[in-house]
Amino acid sequence: MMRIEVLKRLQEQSEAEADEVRQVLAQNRVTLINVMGSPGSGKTTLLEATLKRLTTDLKCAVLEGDLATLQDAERIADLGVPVAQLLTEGGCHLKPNLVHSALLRLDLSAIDCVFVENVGNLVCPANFDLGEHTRVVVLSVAEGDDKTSKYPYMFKQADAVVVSKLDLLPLCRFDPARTRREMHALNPKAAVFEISAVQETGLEAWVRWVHHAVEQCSTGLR
Amino acid sequence: MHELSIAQALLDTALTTAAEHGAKRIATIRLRIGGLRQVVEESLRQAFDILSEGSIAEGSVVRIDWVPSVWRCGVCGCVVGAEDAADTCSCGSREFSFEGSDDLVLTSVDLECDDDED
Repeated sequence: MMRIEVLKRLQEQSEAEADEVRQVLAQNRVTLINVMGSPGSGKTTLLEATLKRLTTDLKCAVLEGDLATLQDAERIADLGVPVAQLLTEGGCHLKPNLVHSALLRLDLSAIDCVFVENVGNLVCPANFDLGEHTRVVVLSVAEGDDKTSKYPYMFKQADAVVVSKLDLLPLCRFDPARTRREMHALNPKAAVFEISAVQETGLEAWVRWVHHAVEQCSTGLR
Repeated sequence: MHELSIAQALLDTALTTAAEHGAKRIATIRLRIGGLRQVVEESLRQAFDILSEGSIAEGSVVRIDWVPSVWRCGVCGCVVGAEDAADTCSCGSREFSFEGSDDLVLTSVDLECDDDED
């Protein structure tokens, strides 16, 4: 019997694939934003509201990740935004190789920013670097304010948390101050936004942040 | 079920190491998993058993060294559960810090080689 010390990180293969995505993005000067959150947290609705405000000065595209159906891609296509649907057929998270092949189907020379809407799930997507520049987690007030401490990996890696469906706050057990406090413990650099896409409140600060993220990224690429 | 992807990476890495050393069987695999990964042990073991079937890793003993995550009071330093991090510490503080590991590391393998004595 022979004991071999290996000390190899198991995410190496996946990270190498994410590096390939980063290469494609750098070559084309495109920013990739990975949008994550529970099913029904309002990811697609946030994207719709954001795209309406961004598309005047930024050329955007969307990769829609879902287990099944084309419904979310159709909602984005209705806005006239280029979109590709990624179907995982039961897979609970997107992987970088899937994002890579979808990116190659877009005309990247005509795009500044690609949003990836990940599969609705607060656990698995946190484990996979897609090659993105920025990670955003959408947390609706209807889910409860305990999610940050229950899913620390997801929130710890977020560059921004968008607290959504703020119009439902009077009906929900959700203390936005708790989200801010726990986010401060998990990742003090993360920005926290409170929005209602339906009532169109709180979107300006969030859209400014996206703009800033894209600017920073393109400066970094130059 | 990110456990399936982890089990596949674990198997691939172990098999590569075994091939490099000309092993005929992998007896034991040791790995270290940080609490942040939220890995379900039963799912990981089940996935590994299925994926390793028919390979030289079939029947390997998988030993997992878990690295737990903790919420710690920023004032008195005591460790609290995730459910208490939303409240006030017994010392009166409401400041907590989070310490968590996202390790996902194959630490070592025990290999049986041709020149092993039975």
